[in-house]
Amino acid sequence: MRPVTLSPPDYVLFGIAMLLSAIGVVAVYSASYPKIAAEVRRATTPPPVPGQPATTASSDIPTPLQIELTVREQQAMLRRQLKWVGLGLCCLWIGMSLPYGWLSHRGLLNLALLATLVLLALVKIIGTTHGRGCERWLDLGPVTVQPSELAKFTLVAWLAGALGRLGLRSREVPEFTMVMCVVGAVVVLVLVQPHLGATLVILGAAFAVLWAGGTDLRHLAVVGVLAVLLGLLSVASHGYQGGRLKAWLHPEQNQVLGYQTVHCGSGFARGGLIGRGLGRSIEKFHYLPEPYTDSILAVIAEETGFRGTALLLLLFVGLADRGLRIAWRCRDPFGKLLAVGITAALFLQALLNFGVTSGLLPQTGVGLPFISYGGSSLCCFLGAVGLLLNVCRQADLPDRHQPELTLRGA
Amino acid sequence: MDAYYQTRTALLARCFLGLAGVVLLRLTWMQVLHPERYENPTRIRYHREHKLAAQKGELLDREGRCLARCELVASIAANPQQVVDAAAAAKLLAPLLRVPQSDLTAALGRRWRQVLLRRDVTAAVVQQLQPLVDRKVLRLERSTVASSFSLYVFGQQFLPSPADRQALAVVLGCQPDELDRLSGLPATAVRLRSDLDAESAKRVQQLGLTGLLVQQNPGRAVVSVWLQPSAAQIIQTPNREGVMTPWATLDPAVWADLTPLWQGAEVPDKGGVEARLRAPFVYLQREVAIELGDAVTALIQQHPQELAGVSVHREYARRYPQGEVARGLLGRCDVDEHGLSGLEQIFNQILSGVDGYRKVTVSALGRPILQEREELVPAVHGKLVELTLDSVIQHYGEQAVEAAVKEFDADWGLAVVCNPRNGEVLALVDVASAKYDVPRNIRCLATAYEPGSIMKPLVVASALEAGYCEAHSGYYCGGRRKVGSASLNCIKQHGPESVADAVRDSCNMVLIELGLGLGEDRLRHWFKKLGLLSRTGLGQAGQEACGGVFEHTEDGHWTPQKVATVSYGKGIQTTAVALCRAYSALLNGGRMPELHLVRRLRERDGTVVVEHPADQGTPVFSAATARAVSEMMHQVVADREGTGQLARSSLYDIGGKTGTSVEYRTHGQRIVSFVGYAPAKDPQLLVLMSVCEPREGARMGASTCGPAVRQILEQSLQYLNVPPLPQAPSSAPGEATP
Repeated sequence: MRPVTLSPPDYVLFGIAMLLSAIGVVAVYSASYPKIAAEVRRATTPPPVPGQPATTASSDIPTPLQIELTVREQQAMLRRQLKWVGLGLCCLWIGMSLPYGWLSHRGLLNLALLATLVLLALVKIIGTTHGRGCERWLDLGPVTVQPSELAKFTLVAWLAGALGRLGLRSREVPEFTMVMCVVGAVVVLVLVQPHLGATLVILGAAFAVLWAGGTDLRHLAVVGVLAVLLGLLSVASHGYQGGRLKAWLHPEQNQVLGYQTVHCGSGFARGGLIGRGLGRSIEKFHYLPEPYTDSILAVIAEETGFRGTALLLLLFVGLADRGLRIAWRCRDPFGKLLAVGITAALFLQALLNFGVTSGLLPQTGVGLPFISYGGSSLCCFLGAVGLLLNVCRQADLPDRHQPELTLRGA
Repeated sequence: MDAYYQTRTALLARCFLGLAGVVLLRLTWMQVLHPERYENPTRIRYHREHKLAAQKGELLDREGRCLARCELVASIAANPQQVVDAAAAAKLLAPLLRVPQSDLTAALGRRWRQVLLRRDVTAAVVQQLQPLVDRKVLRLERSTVASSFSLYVFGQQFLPSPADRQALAVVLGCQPDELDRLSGLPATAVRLRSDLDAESAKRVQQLGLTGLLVQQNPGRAVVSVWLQPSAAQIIQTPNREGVMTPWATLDPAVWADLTPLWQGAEVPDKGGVEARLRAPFVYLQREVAIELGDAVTALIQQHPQELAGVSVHREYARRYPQGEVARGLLGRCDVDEHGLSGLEQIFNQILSGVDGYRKVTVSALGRPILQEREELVPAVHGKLVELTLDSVIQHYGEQAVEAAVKEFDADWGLAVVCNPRNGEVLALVDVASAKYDVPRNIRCLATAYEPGSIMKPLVVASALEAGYCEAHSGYYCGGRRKVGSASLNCIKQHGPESVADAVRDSCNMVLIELGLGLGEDRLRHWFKKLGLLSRTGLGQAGQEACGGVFEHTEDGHWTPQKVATVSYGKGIQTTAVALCRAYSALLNGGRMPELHLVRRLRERDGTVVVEHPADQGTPVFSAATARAVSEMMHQVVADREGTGQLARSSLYDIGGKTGTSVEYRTHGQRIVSFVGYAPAKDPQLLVLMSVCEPREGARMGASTCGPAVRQILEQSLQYLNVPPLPQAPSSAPGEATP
């Protein structure tokens, strides 16, 4: 075998991912403070004697319980998130150093897809709800994981493998139908959790891969129209989603469904151009639901203003740019499509979060990649960046599926 | 194939860039261009404001005795939502609070209250809501609302100064010239406006002009709709902190039935209405001694279970430590310590101070966010007002006037005691018989009346000062004289009288002669100079009346008859305090000091803010004139033929003047007065006393008020340690004169 010389990884991409993770650590530290304070207060104050008047002073303002959070207590979420970043870096390293041959190995990809489908099915059967109305988490003893995070990347990888292998044959109806069946299975399993946000991201990423993978546009159009019709049907038949739409258009008129939109918007507006200063968000003090996961962008917007949100958007655009550059450079169809899929998943999720928190899109629960608190998503995203870097290192190598001669034959 | 891939990837990149561009536009829109639209569209309260109450200042008398102060008291309140067993709690509290146990049980158990849904609904809506009323879901309340006021003017009494006229024109929104013709209207009431709103009506009243009357128009009947708590179902729901709490819910069907009610108005939030059904607060006992509050607090600590929800609040209440002394003069305050009448009203602004507040940013759970800076505006406490009043002299005055009002079965009596040397008011006495309502204002300031003969020394002094006559100039009293169309009488035919004799005998004829001799212009000049036609400034407009001369000819001049009667105190109205100020000029060597009630204002820590400046007084008369007229007044009491002999005292040398007037304006109301001062050689105190409508006795100033004034002077001078006259058995006070 001829000597293999790998290109250096894309350090800019790596840098952007690290910068985003660092911003995430700071943002989670700030946004989680009220929750920690509330937890400590609950733990340290004795349960009230039933009915005992809290105070005899005539005052509208409850006297603040003087709780001094120790540094250790304050930093609980910070340390947890740092731990996840560390684990995510391991994932990144693993993703980057996996032998490329394994990645594109057909059997392994099929196995990964099967495992994902099983996990998704398991979520529906034995999943935990984390106190919310949907089953998205799997309890694995010390940690709970969210298989939908994993599903994005396994589906994308499987699609990349399949389309790369099929080449122009993917334009034929039976092959295309087979591929679409797999996509449909994953999407349906995620949708029934229900996890609309993740579904949209998976659909978007899959669409990007199918598009870049050279499928017939007419087929894609048919599938697209079908998906939109199904979506409309579900909105029409399902009162819940319909209410969401109404709440999206007039959030201030719906105290329940519009609540999150209103408070996210309030965070953005309060931040203004400059922001109120790091750590000085008011919305995070129990006004904003999910301040350190789904709505973390509103906290960042309030604390750092337009400067912060624009910079964050720029970083994600930079990330997408580097990812697509890798895809552009890569000669191997699998690597190319994998890079497109991963980049699309990352970027579309980020944009979806921007759109939802700024009220541009109806409410769906989707975290901001690298920033929102959460172990499985951080590990998955950093692992995915590792894969991107892996592809990058292989990018300049010739296509393995074609004989070397054809390349040199010119 | 390769090129195909590349094209599609590049297209994808452009697509991504486009999406990012849309998001960037949105961010710019929200954060840079129109943040105000998104900042708080649902109007959530991110702040809590805590009032820092300003402590109301004290009223002190000249010796530093406290007349009014705020005292820390306790109020016992309860949150019925937290009360577990109302009967048990009532049983524990009843003996301490001395309230019937059943009342307490009812108050503690009143968890739900009715909610006002809408005021002023139309008859058609009432018709539609009738079924709900029958089902006891709603209650209709019929009441009347005052919508407007009418302004009446009594033509010939309406003589505003140019400044007052200007002010009135501004309030009424007309030209000042339009008001001029009003003075020519007949004396009966003419309606000038019928649609004044409350604000304008108040402003007109505050101008305090005579001849104007503001009256409320009959109210309009309105129907208010109240939602009854019985209409709601009570359920247990967790609140934000997870504690189960009762909550009233309205059946959606009932809520839908209420739809006609919201015609032409914003539909309220159902949840908000339900929240208002909860009664969160009820007072069990207000403003009790702080010790009782402490006892209740101890009881709450002993029985935390049974007395859950009961709380003790500390607050301030206005107290008057001198008891009944000066009680009417001090006036009263409302529950919020806002002065409503008397001195409390006059000094309300100085005493009140300005409340401060503490504004904190709170979390959604209502807890202050510690890292947000709180806005603190400290309260400015009210000042201490050190009055010139002396509560002992005030007490003597009240005793004497009360006795006189009772003895002579009068409507009301008033007395002013002041120091003519410096204008300090030592007592303002205001007594009304039980038949009379307690007036909102201090009558010494607020009532302008015809002074009658007590005007005479002032007119005589003016004539002397003007050089029109001498003290010994001789005149003749024929007992009756025709001036213009009127025939004016004297008490009797005095025959030949000097000016001094005229004061002693209270002869009208001589005064008519002097008045006609001086003429309208000079009389006006002297009245103005003596301040009889202006306010003393003891109270603001609306609290103090302004004197005036009524009944003019068309061109605003006095008729000869008017000139004549004004000279002996008829047809002119003025207040007791204005008269005292004028008399001070006679007793202070011709210099007239400004009357004042406040010696100094102090901060709570004792630092003096303002001190009344030493007042030399405005020169009005020459010292010789003042001496001559005060000697004439001395003779009124001291001389064997004087009209004021009943005020003669064996202890002090008293001078004075009697007066009796039958009020023209109030259809023959009789007001008798006596003005006295002592000691005659060096006047320390001046007392003016008037009694309205005495029904017993001689009904004259001397007999009704003379002895009372003597009593006030004797007691007060003894209290002030002024040495009395040497007790010679047959001392004739008349001999003391030169």
